[in-house]
Amino acid sequence: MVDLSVEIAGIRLKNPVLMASGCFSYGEEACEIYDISLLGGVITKSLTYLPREGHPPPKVVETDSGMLNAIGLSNVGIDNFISEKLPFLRKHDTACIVSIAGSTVDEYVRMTDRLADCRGIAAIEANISCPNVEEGGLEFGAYLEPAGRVIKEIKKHARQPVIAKLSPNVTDIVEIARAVEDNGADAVSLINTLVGAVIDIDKRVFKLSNKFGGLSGPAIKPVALAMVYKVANAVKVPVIGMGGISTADDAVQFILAGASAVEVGTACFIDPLAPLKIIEGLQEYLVEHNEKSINDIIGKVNRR
Amino acid sequence: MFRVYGSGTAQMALRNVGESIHLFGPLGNRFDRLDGSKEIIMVAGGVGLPPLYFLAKIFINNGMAPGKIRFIAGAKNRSEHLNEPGLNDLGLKPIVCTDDGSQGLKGTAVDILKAELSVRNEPLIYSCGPNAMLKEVDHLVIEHNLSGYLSLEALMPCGYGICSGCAVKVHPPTDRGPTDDNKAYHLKRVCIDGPVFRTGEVIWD
Repeated sequence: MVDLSVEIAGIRLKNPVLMASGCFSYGEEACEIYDISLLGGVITKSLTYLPREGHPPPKVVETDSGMLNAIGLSNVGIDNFISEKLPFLRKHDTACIVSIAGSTVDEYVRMTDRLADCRGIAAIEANISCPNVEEGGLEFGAYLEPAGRVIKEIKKHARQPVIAKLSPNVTDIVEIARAVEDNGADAVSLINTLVGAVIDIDKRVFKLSNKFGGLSGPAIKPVALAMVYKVANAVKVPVIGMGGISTADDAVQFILAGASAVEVGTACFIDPLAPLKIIEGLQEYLVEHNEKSINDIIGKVNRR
Repeated sequence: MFRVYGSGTAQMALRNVGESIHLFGPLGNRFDRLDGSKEIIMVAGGVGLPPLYFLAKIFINNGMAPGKIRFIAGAKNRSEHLNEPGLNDLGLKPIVCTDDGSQGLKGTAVDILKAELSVRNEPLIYSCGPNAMLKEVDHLVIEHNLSGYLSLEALMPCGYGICSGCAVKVHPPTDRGPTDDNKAYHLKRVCIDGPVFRTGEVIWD
């Protein structure tokens, strides 16, 4: 039997496949379809301090090999999450990672404080890279000083490991990764979506109400893979890779590039069982290649 | 029964009879069962007809007299009209109409609904069809102080409630506390909070 378990920032994951934030809600819906305890972990929809409605429709549009979304961080807010959603997630044997997205450093800190005494939270993923809100979000992830500062403040208050989720919409993602590492991030996850737009040529309007949205799906996979490889070779903390991962083949590529775990997102819109199929496929890959543990292939892409 | 709308339905249309497909469902809510003994008007537009046909069938199989249901079956034109013969088999005598008059009466399903509302006694309205039609049906229902149910259309990335991509604007609950973005609307997901909404619930653009 091959070993799929990995350890990231002190968190033991039974396998390296996690559900990406925004593609899992808070778990109740997926649980109607399959046993979420089979997953290595789950990342909640990004939470804000107060509940958020988000952008008006249209919020999504299909693109070539992907989709563009401008959900606008619709979420129940940190307190409702803790009282209504967390007890449900806690019942399942999977690492629960809570994503937070503030519009100020203070908001990130207040949310971190609210989570500090909660049982059943494996880690905090600081979403410093949401492209869909006017203030905060991307601003933190886009520049070195704010990215470092927000992670530093979260770390001062966090009782759980902190994962910084990075934006690809920057000049050099490696510099941002180094900045959050220097400020105490226990791991980095990348990439968030790429900013994009689609125009309806008959109506001559942007198809999304927000004009711009975040591009995800297979279209962004090569971009994500290159960034994961670069970052994994530049930082010491573990890297969680994501961006268009739909199959075990994709997941293996990210792991060979240096990701210790992967997040699956848009693929679940096509097939809710995609993460389970990826887990099975990873097992098969290890067997076929005579590897005992997934850890033995992390970052093991050969030089040509 | 579906209409070719985008690339997904275009691919579905290429399938042949006898081929097997993966189907994920059933998803979402359903029309509420009939409350009381009210008269019913069903307003079907285009491919919105089949769900209402099945609803009428359930009502009639559960003992409702077919004469209590007025079934309005509208479409743009003759080629888009579904002509469900089962409606007659149920004893419904549907009012068939098309926008261009190429089949049945000339006029939209909403035009027919307007005329029906003037002769019916506080009917309950059930409607399924394009959102532009549902919006008009909704306005008529509110104007006449009636109630009913609307089954909405939306593009759905996931279909099972996780992405919020198909959300529509509804009136915020009265007990909604402070929010981060102070929107005048609340959002509900068509895929699992719907597709059926109460009349007066949706905020139309």
